[in-house]
Amino acid sequence: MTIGLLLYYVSLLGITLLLVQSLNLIWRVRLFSLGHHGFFGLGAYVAVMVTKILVPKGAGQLPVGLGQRLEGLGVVAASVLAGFGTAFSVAWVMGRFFRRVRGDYFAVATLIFAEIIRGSFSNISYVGGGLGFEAPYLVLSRVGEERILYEAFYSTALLMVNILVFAIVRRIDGSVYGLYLSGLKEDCIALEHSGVDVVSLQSMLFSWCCGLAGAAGAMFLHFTTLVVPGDFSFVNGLPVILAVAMGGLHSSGCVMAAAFIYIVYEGLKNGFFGLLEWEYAAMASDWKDAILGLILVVSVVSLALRGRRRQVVRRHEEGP
Amino acid sequence: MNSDATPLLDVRGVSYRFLGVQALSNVSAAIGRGEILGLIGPNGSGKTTLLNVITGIYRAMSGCVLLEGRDITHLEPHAVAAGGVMRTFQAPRLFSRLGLLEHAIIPMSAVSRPVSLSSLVCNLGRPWASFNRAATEVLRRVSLTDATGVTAGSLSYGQKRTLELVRCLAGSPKLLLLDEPTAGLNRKETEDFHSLLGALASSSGIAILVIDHDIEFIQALCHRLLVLVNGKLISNGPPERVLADPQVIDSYLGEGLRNAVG
Repeated sequence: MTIGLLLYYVSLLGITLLLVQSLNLIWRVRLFSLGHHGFFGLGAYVAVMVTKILVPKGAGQLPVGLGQRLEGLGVVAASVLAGFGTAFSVAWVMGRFFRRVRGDYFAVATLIFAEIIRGSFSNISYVGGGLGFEAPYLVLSRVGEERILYEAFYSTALLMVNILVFAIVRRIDGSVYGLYLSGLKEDCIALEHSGVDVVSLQSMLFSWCCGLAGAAGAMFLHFTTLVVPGDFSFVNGLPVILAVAMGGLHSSGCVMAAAFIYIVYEGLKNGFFGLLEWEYAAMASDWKDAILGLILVVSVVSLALRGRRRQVVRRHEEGP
Repeated sequence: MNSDATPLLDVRGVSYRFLGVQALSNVSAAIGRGEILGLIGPNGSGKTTLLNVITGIYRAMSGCVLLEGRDITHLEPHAVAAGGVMRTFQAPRLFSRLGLLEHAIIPMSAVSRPVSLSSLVCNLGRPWASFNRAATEVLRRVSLTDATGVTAGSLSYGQKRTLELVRCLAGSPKLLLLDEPTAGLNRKETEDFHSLLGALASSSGIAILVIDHDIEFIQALCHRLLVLVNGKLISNGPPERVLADPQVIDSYLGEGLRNAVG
Protein backbone atom coordinates (compact mmCIF):
# COMPACT_ATOMS: atom_id res chain seq x y z
CA MET A 1 0.00 0.00 0.00
CA THR A 2 1.32 3.42 -0.94
CA ILE A 3 1.57 6.25 1.56
CA GLY A 4 -1.00 8.21 -0.45
CA LEU A 5 -3.51 5.37 -0.21
CA LEU A 6 -2.82 4.96 3.50
CA LEU A 7 -3.49 8.66 4.11
CA TYR A 8 -6.66 8.39 2.00
CA TYR A 9 -7.97 5.67 4.30
CA VAL A 10 -6.88 7.64 7.37
CA SER A 11 -8.97 10.59 6.14
CA LEU A 12 -12.02 8.40 5.60
CA LEU A 13 -11.48 6.91 9.05
CA GLY A 14 -11.32 10.48 10.40
CA ILE A 15 -14.74 11.26 8.90
CA THR A 16 -16.16 8.00 10.29
CA LEU A 17 -14.70 8.81 13.71
CA LEU A 18 -16.38 12.22 13.73
CA LEU A 19 -19.70 10.52 13.06
CA VAL A 20 -19.05 7.86 15.69
CA GLN A 21 -18.01 10.33 18.40
CA SER A 22 -21.02 12.53 17.78
CA LEU A 23 -23.50 9.62 17.64
CA ASN A 24 -21.98 8.20 20.80
CA LEU A 25 -22.78 11.42 22.68
CA ILE A 26 -26.35 11.39 21.29
CA TRP A 27 -26.89 7.83 22.52
CA ARG A 28 -25.44 8.79 25.89
CA VAL A 29 -28.25 11.30 26.40
CA ARG A 30 -30.66 8.44 25.80
CA LEU A 31 -31.70 9.56 22.34
CA PHE A 32 -31.62 6.46 20.18
CA SER A 33 -30.97 8.11 16.84
CA LEU A 34 -30.73 5.89 13.78
CA GLY A 35 -30.68 8.76 11.29
CA HIS A 36 -27.24 10.22 11.90
CA HIS A 37 -26.28 9.57 8.28
CA GLY A 38 -29.17 11.89 7.32
CA PHE A 39 -27.43 14.84 9.00
CA PHE A 40 -24.18 13.73 7.39
CA GLY A 41 -25.91 13.86 3.99
CA LEU A 42 -27.57 17.17 4.78
CA GLY A 43 -24.19 18.72 5.55
CA ALA A 44 -22.70 17.32 2.35
CA TYR A 45 -25.52 18.64 0.15
CA VAL A 46 -25.46 22.06 1.81
CA ALA A 47 -21.72 22.08 1.05
CA VAL A 48 -22.58 21.23 -2.56
CA MET A 49 -24.87 24.28 -2.73
CA VAL A 50 -22.31 26.57 -1.09
CA THR A 51 -19.65 25.34 -3.51
CA LYS A 52 -21.95 25.89 -6.49
CA ILE A 53 -22.72 29.41 -5.34
CA LEU A 54 -19.17 30.44 -4.43
CA VAL A 55 -17.20 28.74 -7.20
CA PRO A 56 -17.99 30.30 -10.58
CA LYS A 57 -19.17 27.99 -13.34
CA GLY A 58 -16.41 27.02 -15.73
CA ALA A 59 -13.64 27.78 -13.24
CA GLY A 60 -10.56 25.61 -13.69
CA GLN A 61 -10.72 22.17 -12.07
CA LEU A 62 -7.26 22.48 -10.58
CA PRO A 63 -6.25 25.23 -8.17
CA VAL A 64 -3.18 27.16 -9.23
CA GLY A 65 -1.27 29.77 -7.24
CA LEU A 66 -1.48 30.78 -3.60
CA GLY A 67 -4.36 33.23 -4.06
CA GLN A 68 -6.59 30.67 -5.73
CA ARG A 69 -5.72 28.05 -3.13
CA LEU A 70 -6.55 30.43 -0.28
CA GLU A 71 -9.83 31.28 -1.95
CA GLY A 72 -10.51 27.55 -2.24
CA LEU A 73 -9.71 27.13 1.45
CA GLY A 74 -12.25 29.85 2.19
CA VAL A 75 -14.90 27.98 0.19
CA VAL A 76 -14.12 24.74 2.05
CA ALA A 77 -14.36 26.55 5.39
CA ALA A 78 -17.65 28.22 4.38
CA SER A 79 -19.05 24.83 3.27
CA VAL A 80 -18.08 23.19 6.54
CA LEU A 81 -19.63 26.03 8.55
CA ALA A 82 -22.79 25.98 6.45
CA GLY A 83 -23.01 22.17 6.75
CA PHE A 84 -22.59 22.45 10.50
CA GLY A 85 -25.06 25.31 10.84
CA THR A 86 -27.79 23.69 8.74
CA ALA A 87 -27.55 20.30 10.44
CA PHE A 88 -27.44 22.04 13.83
CA SER A 89 -30.55 24.13 13.07
CA VAL A 90 -32.54 21.20 11.67
CA ALA A 91 -31.59 19.05 14.67
CA TRP A 92 -32.55 21.86 17.05
CA VAL A 93 -36.01 22.13 15.44
CA MET A 94 -36.34 18.33 15.48
CA GLY A 95 -35.28 18.23 19.13
CA ARG A 96 -38.01 20.77 19.99
CA PHE A 97 -40.61 19.14 17.74
CA PHE A 98 -39.97 15.65 19.13
CA ARG A 99 -39.62 17.06 22.65
CA ARG A 100 -41.30 14.15 24.32
CA VAL A 101 -40.72 11.49 21.67
CA ARG A 102 -38.23 9.03 23.04
CA GLY A 103 -36.93 5.49 22.60
CA ASP A 104 -38.09 3.49 19.61
CA TYR A 105 -40.27 6.32 18.33
CA PHE A 106 -37.32 8.69 18.25
CA ALA A 107 -35.28 6.06 16.38
CA VAL A 108 -38.03 5.72 13.78
CA ALA A 109 -38.45 9.50 13.46
CA THR A 110 -34.72 10.06 12.85
CA LEU A 111 -34.53 7.14 10.41
CA ILE A 112 -37.45 8.53 8.40
CA PHE A 113 -35.83 11.97 8.45
CA ALA A 114 -32.61 10.51 7.02
CA GLU A 115 -34.51 8.75 4.25
CA ILE A 116 -36.42 11.97 3.45
CA ILE A 117 -33.10 13.83 3.15
CA ARG A 118 -31.64 11.17 0.85
CA GLY A 119 -34.81 10.86 -1.21
CA SER A 120 -35.20 14.63 -1.59
CA PHE A 121 -31.65 15.30 -2.70
CA SER A 122 -31.84 12.36 -5.15
CA ASN A 123 -34.53 14.34 -6.95
CA ILE A 124 -33.03 17.83 -6.88
CA SER A 125 -31.16 18.36 -10.12
CA TYR A 126 -29.40 21.48 -8.76
CA VAL A 127 -27.25 19.22 -6.57
CA GLY A 128 -26.83 16.55 -9.22
CA GLY A 129 -29.90 14.41 -8.49
CA GLY A 130 -29.39 10.66 -8.57
CA LEU A 131 -26.09 11.01 -10.47
CA GLY A 132 -24.53 12.96 -7.66
CA PHE A 133 -22.26 16.00 -7.68
CA GLU A 134 -18.62 16.26 -8.55
CA ALA A 135 -16.89 19.08 -6.71
CA PRO A 136 -13.83 20.83 -8.10
CA TYR A 137 -10.50 20.58 -6.33
CA LEU A 138 -10.31 23.77 -4.29
CA VAL A 139 -7.17 23.81 -2.17
CA LEU A 140 -4.97 21.07 -3.54
CA SER A 141 -5.50 18.43 -6.19
CA ARG A 142 -4.89 14.72 -6.48
CA VAL A 143 -3.00 15.19 -9.73
CA GLY A 144 0.64 14.19 -9.92
CA GLU A 145 2.96 14.68 -6.97
CA GLU A 146 0.48 16.98 -5.24
CA ARG A 147 -1.59 13.93 -4.33
CA ILE A 148 0.45 13.11 -1.20
CA LEU A 149 0.09 16.71 -0.07
CA TYR A 150 -3.67 16.53 -0.73
CA GLU A 151 -4.12 13.36 1.31
CA ALA A 152 -1.82 14.67 4.07
CA PHE A 153 -3.75 17.96 4.27
CA TYR A 154 -7.15 16.32 4.75
CA SER A 155 -5.93 13.50 7.00
CA THR A 156 -4.12 15.99 9.26
CA ALA A 157 -7.10 18.36 9.38
CA LEU A 158 -9.50 15.50 10.20
CA LEU A 159 -7.14 14.06 12.78
CA MET A 160 -6.90 17.43 14.51
CA VAL A 161 -10.67 17.93 14.50
CA ASN A 162 -11.09 14.44 15.96
CA ILE A 163 -8.55 15.07 18.69
CA LEU A 164 -10.31 18.34 19.53
CA VAL A 165 -13.73 16.65 19.70
CA PHE A 166 -12.31 13.79 21.80
CA ALA A 167 -10.70 16.28 24.21
CA ILE A 168 -13.96 18.25 24.55
CA VAL A 169 -15.96 15.08 25.22
CA ARG A 170 -13.42 14.04 27.87
CA ARG A 171 -13.71 17.48 29.49
CA ILE A 172 -17.51 17.14 29.50
CA ASP A 173 -17.13 13.74 31.16
CA GLY A 174 -14.94 15.25 33.87
CA SER A 175 -17.32 18.14 34.51
CA VAL A 176 -20.67 18.23 36.27
CA TYR A 177 -22.28 17.63 32.86
CA GLY A 178 -20.54 14.25 32.87
CA LEU A 179 -22.40 13.56 36.11
CA TYR A 180 -25.66 14.58 34.45
CA LEU A 181 -24.93 12.09 31.64
CA SER A 182 -24.26 9.33 34.17
CA GLY A 183 -27.40 10.31 36.08
CA LEU A 184 -29.43 10.26 32.89
CA LYS A 185 -28.28 6.72 32.23
CA GLU A 186 -29.25 5.65 35.76
CA ASP A 187 -32.56 7.40 36.39
CA CYS A 188 -33.97 10.10 34.17
CA ILE A 189 -36.84 10.95 36.57
CA ALA A 190 -34.54 11.36 39.57
CA LEU A 191 -32.31 13.61 37.47
CA GLU A 192 -35.22 15.80 36.39
CA HIS A 193 -36.43 16.08 39.99
CA SER A 194 -32.90 17.12 40.99
CA GLY A 195 -33.43 20.27 38.92
CA VAL A 196 -31.71 19.18 35.70
CA ASP A 197 -33.58 20.21 32.56
CA VAL A 198 -33.23 16.84 30.85
CA VAL A 199 -35.05 17.83 27.65
CA SER A 200 -32.83 20.90 27.14
CA LEU A 201 -29.73 18.83 27.86
CA GLN A 202 -30.82 16.27 25.27
CA SER A 203 -31.83 18.89 22.68
CA MET A 204 -28.59 20.83 23.13
CA LEU A 205 -26.26 17.86 22.77
CA PHE A 206 -28.38 16.41 19.94
CA SER A 207 -28.11 19.69 17.99
CA TRP A 208 -24.35 20.04 18.47
CA CYS A 209 -23.66 16.42 17.60
CA CYS A 210 -25.85 16.55 14.48
CA GLY A 211 -24.06 19.79 13.56
CA LEU A 212 -20.81 17.89 13.80
CA ALA A 213 -22.22 15.21 11.48
CA GLY A 214 -23.15 17.99 9.03
CA ALA A 215 -19.61 19.37 9.17
CA ALA A 216 -18.28 15.85 8.57
CA GLY A 217 -20.55 15.65 5.49
CA ALA A 218 -19.09 18.89 4.10
CA MET A 219 -15.56 17.62 4.70
CA PHE A 220 -16.51 14.36 3.01
CA LEU A 221 -17.60 16.26 -0.10
CA HIS A 222 -14.39 18.26 -0.37
CA PHE A 223 -12.19 15.29 0.42
CA THR A 224 -13.73 12.76 -1.97
CA THR A 225 -14.92 15.50 -4.42
CA LEU A 226 -17.89 13.29 -5.33
CA VAL A 227 -21.13 12.67 -3.50
CA VAL A 228 -24.02 10.49 -4.63
CA PRO A 229 -27.25 9.93 -2.65
CA GLY A 230 -26.24 6.30 -2.00
CA ASP A 231 -23.38 7.56 0.22
CA PHE A 232 -25.99 8.60 2.77
CA SER A 233 -28.09 5.46 2.81
CA PHE A 234 -28.84 3.55 6.00
CA VAL A 235 -26.60 0.67 4.87
CA ASN A 236 -23.65 3.04 4.50
CA GLY A 237 -24.42 4.49 7.94
CA LEU A 238 -24.48 1.03 9.50
CA PRO A 239 -20.74 0.85 10.36
CA VAL A 240 -21.14 4.02 12.44
CA ILE A 241 -24.10 2.59 14.36
CA LEU A 242 -22.24 -0.69 14.78
CA ALA A 243 -19.13 1.07 16.13
CA VAL A 244 -21.19 2.98 18.73
CA ALA A 245 -23.08 -0.19 19.72
CA MET A 246 -19.83 -2.16 20.00
CA GLY A 247 -17.83 0.51 21.78
CA GLY A 248 -20.39 0.97 24.54
CA LEU A 249 -21.13 4.34 26.02
CA HIS A 250 -17.51 5.34 26.49
CA SER A 251 -15.77 7.90 24.32
CA SER A 252 -12.55 5.87 24.03
CA GLY A 253 -14.38 2.55 23.54
CA CYS A 254 -16.35 3.84 20.60
CA VAL A 255 -13.21 5.29 18.96
CA MET A 256 -11.47 1.91 19.17
CA ALA A 257 -14.57 0.10 17.94
CA ALA A 258 -14.84 2.56 15.04
CA ALA A 259 -11.25 1.89 14.02
CA PHE A 260 -11.86 -1.87 14.16
CA ILE A 261 -15.12 -1.73 12.20
CA TYR A 262 -13.63 0.64 9.65
CA ILE A 263 -10.61 -1.60 9.01
CA VAL A 264 -12.86 -4.67 8.69
CA TYR A 265 -15.45 -2.95 6.47
CA GLU A 266 -13.07 -1.06 4.20
CA GLY A 267 -10.76 -4.08 4.19
CA LEU A 268 -13.55 -6.34 2.95
CA LYS A 269 -14.57 -3.73 0.41
CA ASN A 270 -11.06 -3.31 -1.02
CA GLY A 271 -9.55 -6.78 -0.68
CA PHE A 272 -7.84 -5.77 2.55
CA PHE A 273 -6.12 -2.81 0.97
CA GLY A 274 -4.71 -4.78 -1.95
CA LEU A 275 -3.34 -7.64 0.13
CA LEU A 276 -5.82 -10.26 -1.15
CA GLU A 277 -5.74 -11.90 -4.57
CA TRP A 278 -8.43 -10.44 -6.82
CA GLU A 279 -10.79 -13.45 -6.70
CA TYR A 280 -10.70 -13.48 -2.89
CA ALA A 281 -11.04 -9.72 -2.84
CA ALA A 282 -14.18 -9.95 -4.98
CA MET A 283 -15.62 -12.61 -2.68
CA ALA A 284 -14.84 -10.52 0.42
CA SER A 285 -16.50 -7.51 -1.17
CA ASP A 286 -19.63 -9.56 -1.96
CA TRP A 287 -19.85 -10.76 1.63
CA LYS A 288 -19.00 -7.50 3.39
CA ASP A 289 -22.58 -6.54 4.32
CA ALA A 290 -23.36 -10.05 5.55
CA ILE A 291 -20.20 -10.08 7.69
CA LEU A 292 -21.03 -6.65 9.06
CA GLY A 293 -24.53 -7.89 9.92
CA LEU A 294 -23.01 -10.88 11.68
CA ILE A 295 -20.71 -8.61 13.73
CA LEU A 296 -23.76 -6.50 14.63
CA VAL A 297 -25.71 -9.56 15.80
CA VAL A 298 -22.78 -10.88 17.84
CA SER A 299 -22.09 -7.50 19.46
CA VAL A 300 -25.77 -6.90 20.28
CA VAL A 301 -26.10 -10.37 21.81
CA SER A 302 -22.91 -9.93 23.84
CA LEU A 303 -24.07 -6.47 24.99
CA ALA A 304 -27.45 -7.92 25.99
CA LEU A 305 -25.74 -10.70 27.94
CA ARG A 306 -23.40 -8.20 29.60
CA GLY A 307 -26.37 -5.99 30.52
CA ARG A 308 -28.24 -8.98 31.93
CA ARG A 309 -25.21 -9.99 33.99
CA ARG A 310 -24.90 -6.44 35.38
CA GLN A 311 -28.59 -6.43 36.21
CA VAL A 312 -28.21 -9.65 38.19
CA VAL A 313 -25.12 -8.31 40.01
CA ARG A 314 -26.94 -5.08 40.81
CA ARG A 315 -29.98 -6.94 42.16
CA HIS A 316 -27.65 -9.07 44.24
CA GLU A 317 -25.92 -5.93 45.60
CA GLU A 318 -29.14 -4.10 46.29
CA GLY A 319 -30.83 -7.06 47.94
CA PRO A 320 -34.56 -7.80 47.90
CA MET B 1 -46.32 38.86 47.13
CA ASN B 2 -43.72 37.22 49.31
CA SER B 3 -44.93 38.65 52.60
CA ASP B 4 -45.25 36.35 55.60
CA ALA B 5 -49.03 36.25 55.10
CA THR B 6 -48.57 34.45 51.77
CA PRO B 7 -48.33 30.71 52.33
CA LEU B 8 -45.23 29.02 50.97
CA LEU B 9 -47.32 26.62 48.90
CA ASP B 10 -50.94 27.22 48.08
CA VAL B 11 -52.93 24.52 46.29
CA ARG B 12 -56.20 26.01 45.07
CA GLY B 13 -59.10 23.88 43.89
CA VAL B 14 -56.94 21.30 42.10
CA SER B 15 -58.67 18.48 40.21
CA TYR B 16 -57.15 15.62 38.25
CA ARG B 17 -58.71 12.71 36.43
CA PHE B 18 -57.32 9.43 35.04
CA LEU B 19 -59.83 8.48 32.33
CA GLY B 20 -62.83 7.32 34.40
CA VAL B 21 -61.24 7.82 37.81
CA GLN B 22 -61.46 11.19 39.53
CA ALA B 23 -58.13 11.15 41.39
CA LEU B 24 -58.43 14.66 42.87
CA SER B 25 -61.59 16.72 43.30
CA ASN B 26 -61.23 20.40 44.02
CA VAL B 27 -58.43 19.96 46.56
CA SER B 28 -57.28 23.10 48.36
CA ALA B 29 -54.51 23.26 50.95
CA ALA B 30 -51.74 25.57 52.04
CA ILE B 31 -48.44 25.10 53.82
CA GLY B 32 -46.47 27.80 55.61
CA ARG B 33 -42.72 28.24 56.02
CA GLY B 34 -41.20 25.77 58.48
CA GLU B 35 -44.47 23.90 58.83
CA ILE B 36 -44.63 20.10 58.78
CA LEU B 37 -47.81 18.93 57.17
CA GLY B 38 -48.94 15.30 57.09
CA LEU B 39 -51.03 13.93 54.23
CA ILE B 40 -52.82 10.71 55.05
CA GLY B 41 -55.56 8.60 53.53
CA PRO B 42 -56.29 5.11 52.25
CA ASN B 43 -54.39 3.64 49.28
CA GLY B 44 -55.65 5.10 46.02
CA SER B 45 -57.03 8.21 47.67
CA GLY B 46 -54.92 10.58 45.54
CA LYS B 47 -52.03 11.46 47.88
CA THR B 48 -49.22 10.71 45.42
CA THR B 49 -51.26 12.22 42.59
CA LEU B 50 -51.38 15.47 44.55
CA LEU B 51 -47.59 15.36 44.92
CA ASN B 52 -47.28 14.66 41.19
CA VAL B 53 -49.48 17.67 40.39
CA ILE B 54 -47.44 19.92 42.69
CA THR B 55 -44.13 18.78 41.19
CA GLY B 56 -45.25 19.11 37.57
CA ILE B 57 -45.42 15.42 36.61
CA TYR B 58 -49.16 15.85 36.04
CA ARG B 59 -50.85 19.05 34.93
CA ALA B 60 -53.86 20.01 37.07
CA MET B 61 -57.05 19.88 34.98
CA SER B 62 -58.48 22.71 37.01
CA GLY B 63 -57.23 24.87 39.85
CA CYS B 64 -53.69 26.07 40.39
CA VAL B 65 -50.59 25.60 42.51
CA LEU B 66 -48.84 28.70 43.85
CA LEU B 67 -45.35 28.76 45.33
CA GLU B 68 -44.76 31.99 47.27
CA GLY B 69 -47.60 33.50 45.27
CA ARG B 70 -46.08 32.46 41.91
CA ASP B 71 -48.10 30.11 39.69
CA ILE B 72 -46.13 26.88 39.16
CA THR B 73 -49.05 24.79 37.85
CA HIS B 74 -47.64 24.47 34.34
CA LEU B 75 -43.93 24.28 35.13
CA GLU B 76 -41.85 21.25 34.21
CA PRO B 77 -40.56 19.09 37.12
CA HIS B 78 -37.00 20.44 36.79
CA ALA B 79 -38.28 24.04 37.04
CA VAL B 80 -40.38 23.19 40.10
CA ALA B 81 -37.31 21.59 41.70
CA ALA B 82 -35.15 24.59 40.83
CA GLY B 83 -37.86 26.82 42.33
CA GLY B 84 -37.30 25.13 45.68
CA VAL B 85 -39.73 22.18 45.76
CA MET B 86 -37.81 18.92 46.09
CA ARG B 87 -39.38 15.50 46.45
CA THR B 88 -38.69 11.86 47.24
CA PHE B 89 -40.53 8.84 45.84
CA GLN B 90 -42.30 5.83 47.34
CA ALA B 91 -39.44 3.61 46.15
CA PRO B 92 -36.12 5.51 46.45
CA ARG B 93 -34.99 6.85 43.06
CA LEU B 94 -31.22 7.13 43.09
CA PHE B 95 -28.31 6.93 40.67
CA SER B 96 -27.21 3.40 41.64
CA ARG B 97 -23.71 3.54 40.21
CA LEU B 98 -22.88 7.02 41.44
CA GLY B 99 -21.36 7.82 44.81
CA LEU B 100 -22.98 9.76 47.65
CA LEU B 101 -21.18 13.02 46.96
CA GLU B 102 -22.38 12.95 43.36
CA HIS B 103 -25.97 12.68 44.58
CA ALA B 104 -25.51 16.01 46.34
CA ILE B 105 -23.46 17.63 43.58
CA ILE B 106 -26.04 17.07 40.80
CA PRO B 107 -28.88 19.13 42.36
CA MET B 108 -26.44 21.63 43.84
CA SER B 109 -25.05 22.44 40.42
CA ALA B 110 -28.36 22.14 38.52
CA VAL B 111 -30.18 24.56 40.80
CA SER B 112 -27.37 27.12 40.80
CA ARG B 113 -26.84 27.07 37.03
CA PRO B 114 -29.55 25.74 34.66
CA VAL B 115 -28.62 23.61 31.64
CA SER B 116 -27.41 25.81 28.78
CA LEU B 117 -24.49 26.11 26.41
CA SER B 118 -22.85 28.83 28.50
CA SER B 119 -23.21 26.70 31.61
CA LEU B 120 -21.70 23.72 29.75
CA VAL B 121 -18.74 25.82 28.60
CA CYS B 122 -18.21 27.30 32.10
CA ASN B 123 -18.36 23.86 33.66
CA LEU B 124 -15.78 22.44 31.22
CA GLY B 125 -13.08 24.24 33.14
CA ARG B 126 -14.56 23.30 36.48
CA PRO B 127 -14.30 19.66 37.53
CA TRP B 128 -17.20 18.51 39.68
CA ALA B 129 -14.79 17.70 42.50
CA SER B 130 -14.83 21.44 43.23
CA PHE B 131 -18.31 20.96 44.71
CA ASN B 132 -17.00 18.36 47.17
CA ARG B 133 -16.86 20.53 50.27
CA ALA B 134 -20.47 21.70 50.03
CA ALA B 135 -21.63 18.15 49.22
CA THR B 136 -19.76 16.73 52.21
CA GLU B 137 -21.48 19.30 54.41
CA VAL B 138 -24.92 18.10 53.25
CA LEU B 139 -23.93 14.48 53.95
CA ARG B 140 -22.71 15.52 57.39
CA ARG B 141 -26.10 17.07 58.17
CA VAL B 142 -27.78 13.68 57.73
CA SER B 143 -24.88 11.69 59.23
CA LEU B 144 -24.05 9.81 56.03
CA THR B 145 -20.36 10.72 55.87
CA ASP B 146 -19.26 7.20 56.91
CA ALA B 147 -20.49 5.78 53.63
CA THR B 148 -18.94 8.31 51.24
CA GLY B 149 -16.71 5.77 49.48
CA VAL B 150 -19.50 3.52 48.24
CA THR B 151 -22.05 3.70 45.43
CA ALA B 152 -25.73 4.29 46.10
CA GLY B 153 -26.64 0.79 44.90
CA SER B 154 -24.72 -0.83 47.74
CA LEU B 155 -26.38 1.14 50.56
CA SER B 156 -28.92 -0.37 52.96
CA TYR B 157 -32.58 0.50 52.37
CA GLY B 158 -32.62 2.98 55.26
CA GLN B 159 -29.48 4.68 53.96
CA LYS B 160 -31.04 4.91 50.52
CA ARG B 161 -33.98 6.75 52.03
CA THR B 162 -31.57 9.15 53.72
CA LEU B 163 -29.58 9.57 50.50
CA GLU B 164 -32.77 10.56 48.69
CA LEU B 165 -33.17 13.22 51.33
CA VAL B 166 -29.59 14.33 50.63
CA ARG B 167 -30.47 14.72 46.94
CA CYS B 168 -33.33 16.98 48.00
CA LEU B 169 -31.42 18.99 50.61
CA ALA B 170 -28.52 19.69 48.24
CA GLY B 171 -30.93 21.61 46.01
CA SER B 172 -31.54 24.18 48.81
CA PRO B 173 -35.28 23.46 49.03
CA LYS B 174 -37.94 25.65 50.58
CA LEU B 175 -40.38 22.76 50.59
CA LEU B 176 -39.73 19.03 50.87
CA LEU B 177 -42.32 16.57 49.63
CA LEU B 178 -41.76 13.12 51.10
CA ASP B 179 -43.73 10.19 49.76
CA GLU B 180 -43.94 7.45 52.39
CA PRO B 181 -40.41 8.01 53.74
CA THR B 182 -40.72 5.36 56.46
CA ALA B 183 -42.05 2.57 54.23
CA GLY B 184 -39.73 -0.42 54.66
CA LEU B 185 -37.87 1.09 57.63
CA ASN B 186 -37.69 -0.58 61.04
CA ARG B 187 -38.75 1.21 64.25
CA LYS B 188 -35.22 2.48 65.02
CA GLU B 189 -34.73 3.81 61.49
CA THR B 190 -38.16 5.46 61.63
CA GLU B 191 -37.27 7.18 64.89
CA ASP B 192 -33.95 8.38 63.45
CA PHE B 193 -35.75 9.69 60.39
CA HIS B 194 -38.26 11.46 62.59
CA SER B 195 -35.49 13.20 64.56
CA LEU B 196 -33.74 14.15 61.34
CA LEU B 197 -36.84 15.73 59.79
CA GLY B 198 -37.73 17.54 63.00
CA ALA B 199 -34.20 18.97 63.23
CA LEU B 200 -34.27 20.03 59.58
CA ALA B 201 -37.57 21.85 59.89
CA SER B 202 -36.58 23.65 63.09
CA SER B 203 -33.00 24.53 62.11
CA SER B 204 -33.40 25.52 58.47
CA GLY B 205 -37.05 26.55 58.26
CA ILE B 206 -37.77 24.10 55.44
CA ALA B 207 -41.46 23.25 55.13
CA ILE B 208 -42.22 19.54 54.82
CA LEU B 209 -45.23 17.79 53.33
CA VAL B 210 -45.08 14.14 54.25
CA ILE B 211 -47.28 11.24 53.14
CA ASP B 212 -47.17 8.19 55.37
CA HIS B 213 -49.28 5.33 56.71
CA ASP B 214 -47.39 5.19 60.02
CA ILE B 215 -49.88 7.19 62.07
CA GLU B 216 -47.66 7.23 65.15
CA PHE B 217 -44.82 8.74 63.14
CA ILE B 218 -47.12 11.24 61.44
CA GLN B 219 -48.79 12.26 64.70
CA ALA B 220 -45.47 12.82 66.46
CA LEU B 221 -43.88 14.72 63.56
CA CYS B 222 -46.55 16.90 61.99
CA HIS B 223 -47.99 20.24 63.05
CA ARG B 224 -51.08 19.69 60.94
CA LEU B 225 -52.76 16.83 59.06
CA LEU B 226 -54.74 16.63 55.83
CA VAL B 227 -56.88 13.62 55.03
CA LEU B 228 -57.68 12.64 51.46
CA VAL B 229 -60.34 10.07 50.67
CA ASN B 230 -61.35 9.27 47.08
CA GLY B 231 -59.63 12.44 45.89
CA LYS B 232 -61.53 14.68 48.30
CA LEU B 233 -60.07 16.51 51.26
CA ILE B 234 -62.21 15.45 54.21
CA SER B 235 -60.28 16.85 57.15
CA ASN B 236 -57.61 19.47 57.86
CA GLY B 237 -56.26 20.51 61.25
CA PRO B 238 -54.04 19.63 64.20
CA PRO B 239 -53.27 15.87 64.48
CA GLU B 240 -55.29 15.35 67.69
CA ARG B 241 -58.42 16.84 66.18
CA VAL B 242 -58.08 15.14 62.78
CA LEU B 243 -57.39 11.71 64.26
CA ALA B 244 -60.49 12.03 66.43
CA ASP B 245 -62.67 13.12 63.51
CA PRO B 246 -65.43 10.48 63.08
CA GLN B 247 -65.33 10.84 59.29
CA VAL B 248 -61.56 10.07 59.26
CA ILE B 249 -62.07 7.11 61.58
CA ASP B 250 -64.84 5.72 59.39
CA SER B 251 -63.08 6.08 56.07
CA TYR B 252 -59.42 5.49 56.99
CA LEU B 253 -58.34 4.77 60.56
CA GLY B 254 -60.98 2.37 61.84
CA GLU B 255 -61.86 2.00 65.50
CA GLY B 256 -58.88 -0.23 66.34
CA LEU B 257 -56.29 2.24 65.10
CA ARG B 258 -58.02 5.15 66.83
CA ASN B 259 -57.77 3.31 70.15
CA ALA B 260 -54.12 2.44 69.45
CA VAL B 261 -53.06 6.05 68.80
CA GLY B 262 -55.12 7.16 71.75
